[in-house]
Amino acid sequence: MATATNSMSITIGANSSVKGIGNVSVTVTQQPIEVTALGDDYTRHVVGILTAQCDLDFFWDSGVAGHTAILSGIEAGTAINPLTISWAASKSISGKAMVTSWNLTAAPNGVCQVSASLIYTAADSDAASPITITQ
Amino acid sequence: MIEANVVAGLVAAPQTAAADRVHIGARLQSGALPALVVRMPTGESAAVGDTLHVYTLELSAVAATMVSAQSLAAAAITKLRTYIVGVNASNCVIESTYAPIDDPVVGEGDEAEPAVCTANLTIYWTP
Repeated sequence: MATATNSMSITIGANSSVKGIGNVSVTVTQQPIEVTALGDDYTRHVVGILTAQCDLDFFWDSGVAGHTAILSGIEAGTAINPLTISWAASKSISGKAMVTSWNLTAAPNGVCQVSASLIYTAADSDAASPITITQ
Repeated sequence: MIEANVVAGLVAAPQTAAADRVHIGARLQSGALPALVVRMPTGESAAVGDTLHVYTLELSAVAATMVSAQSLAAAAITKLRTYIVGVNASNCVIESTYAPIDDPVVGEGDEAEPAVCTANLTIYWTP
């Protein structure tokens, strides 16, 4: 059955239930690696590297710590740990993320909005998966 | 709720010329002019967790002449903006609003119908 998102929440670093998030999307990609051998009748693949990207749209409010954390992420390279998208009880995608873009839109007669992109990534020394999916 | 504040701002603490002739939704044709008709057709969550709501509000100022309709619309916008933002302090934002002057409508024969000046407002509100 479809899941309603009325108990959704976003955690950005140490800031839980961040306000003003208008829209969020997460894309998880599993890169296939082709291992087809000469003489095979069909292609063969094995599972490759997992990668995930998160796009956040929010109404910019400099008084919200979660929003400024995203700005710090792009300004100072501070990692967002964790970045958790929870769309219902016990249903979430979480991990360590790096901000790759921050796009502020401010037009006359409107309110300031920010679109930010993040990738879930492990640090050099991390052996653990940078993303945890609880479904 | 912001709906109550809108009504209170325009009706309960009247400071507009049509303070005692504010109508919610529609105006009876036999009612006196000038009058203000208020509609709030949409209100919805704009952000995750119901922390930010967005409303659209329509203010139609109806008067005998276009000048008085425009004047009333301007007064209503100012009144509403002052009241709502005042009551809700920092958790309410109203986008810049203008009340374009509608073309005068000519009815049966050569008689002009009442002049109408309509403003559409977008209100962002956090409880």
